Amino acid sequence: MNLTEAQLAHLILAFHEGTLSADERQQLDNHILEHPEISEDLEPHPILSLSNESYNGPSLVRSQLENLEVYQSEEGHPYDKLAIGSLEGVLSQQEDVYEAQLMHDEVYLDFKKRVQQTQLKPNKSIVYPFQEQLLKEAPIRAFSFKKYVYPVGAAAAIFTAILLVNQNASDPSSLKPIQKGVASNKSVVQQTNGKKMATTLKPSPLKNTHQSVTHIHEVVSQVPRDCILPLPDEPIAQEAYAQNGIGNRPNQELSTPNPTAEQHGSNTEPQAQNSPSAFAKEPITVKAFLLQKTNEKLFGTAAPTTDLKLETFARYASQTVGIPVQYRVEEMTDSDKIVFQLGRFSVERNRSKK
Amino acid sequence: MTVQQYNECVREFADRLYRFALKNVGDTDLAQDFVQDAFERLWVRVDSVDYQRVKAYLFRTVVNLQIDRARRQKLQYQHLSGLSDAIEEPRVAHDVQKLIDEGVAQLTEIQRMVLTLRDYEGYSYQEIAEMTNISVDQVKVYIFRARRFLKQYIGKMEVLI
Repeated sequence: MNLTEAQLAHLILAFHEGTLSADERQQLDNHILEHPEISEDLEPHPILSLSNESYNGPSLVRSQLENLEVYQSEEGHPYDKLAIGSLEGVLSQQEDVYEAQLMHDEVYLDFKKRVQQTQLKPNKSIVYPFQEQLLKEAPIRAFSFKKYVYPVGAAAAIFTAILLVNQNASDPSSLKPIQKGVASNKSVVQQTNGKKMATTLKPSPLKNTHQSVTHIHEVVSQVPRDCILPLPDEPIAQEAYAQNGIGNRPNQELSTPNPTAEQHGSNTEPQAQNSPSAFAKEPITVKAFLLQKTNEKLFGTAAPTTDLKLETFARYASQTVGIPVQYRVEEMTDSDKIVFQLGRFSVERNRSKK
Repeated sequence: MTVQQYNECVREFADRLYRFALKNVGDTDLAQDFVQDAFERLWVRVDSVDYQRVKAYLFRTVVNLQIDRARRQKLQYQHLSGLSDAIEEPRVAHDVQKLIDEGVAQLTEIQRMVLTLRDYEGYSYQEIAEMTNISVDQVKVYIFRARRFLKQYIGKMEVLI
């Protein structure tokens, strides 16, 4: 019995699949007896694994790659665009899918391998040879003056205003007591040095100021360097005025316990009796002298009280800033009321009397 | 920025700036000058430069120095490059790194600059665009062309070898 090729194929496949019927098996057996060479086809077929079932042919997504978003404006092979975009990390999600589909495409893998080779890697062995010369040790003068301009300017203006106000308000003669031979009655400095001067300067019948200058140098050579020099022309001027009636009239309140002065002016005695306590003090330092002079300039007295300081500052602030600023102390029977006013706001506080 | 921070910048970025400059200009003396100029400018403006942005400032300075130099010496550069092509000996490159170095040397100035900024320092397209005063798209194009050229150059040279 002769079978056609199609019939034979059907019988062999049915044999391998196990669906051969009895009649078909009889037909196949008869055909094998006549044609023994087909018995090889009845041997078991190789079993195909899943890995062998994957598609290894040319990519099917090439047409889709024509519409790549990455480097769309540039001409070039889609694989170049995809590989370079992948290396740069700028692929879109869809392009990532395309690339995943191409991961078995040897052509694309070769593209990608070559593109990855173009990534430059710095040679760490190359170093800048003069690095130490670039290092700096000098400190940076990073002080910024800009933010201090306005506060310092305002402070300078206030200070200038204070000086001008004080100069106008005070007696011109008190500003230059040494030149005029008149001691300020507010200066503790001169009072403290009065005794020194009185003990150092021997009363002598001086006739002119030139001799008094000579005497000053003698005194200077005797006193310590950090002491405030006395005003030597004070008793000298007193003597000159008492004896000859020349020169400026000395300040009677600050007359020294000089015996010569006591002989010529009876009106100086009460003040001279009150002053020894001040004269008994030691010579003060430069710092204390400056402090006293500053207080005199600012507050009109060498030893201002806290209330006086606050009132003065408030007045200056009010004049400078333009906002009503006031500090005052209202005396009451059993306590003092302190009032501080800044613009519309005011703070009141009672302070018991000492 | 304090002196300590400035010195940290020197230790951190001097070598990287030098490599970047050397890769681009191919001249050690010139690269050293660029690095020195960059840090001198930083020192002059040390009070105004933010420490967080000092890296970008330094690289931008070197980029500007390269651009200025390229503009000043354009004609001379073209003449020298033509001369070097004429006397160039046949190259024998046996590894990919040498091939890449040769290929990088043949890139245009701007392509080489953006590619080194991208690969050496990992700057984004946006940062490179700000440094080089070109658009982000242009940066992408330059990088794409540079990579494509290098890829083709490597492939061609390997075939020849």
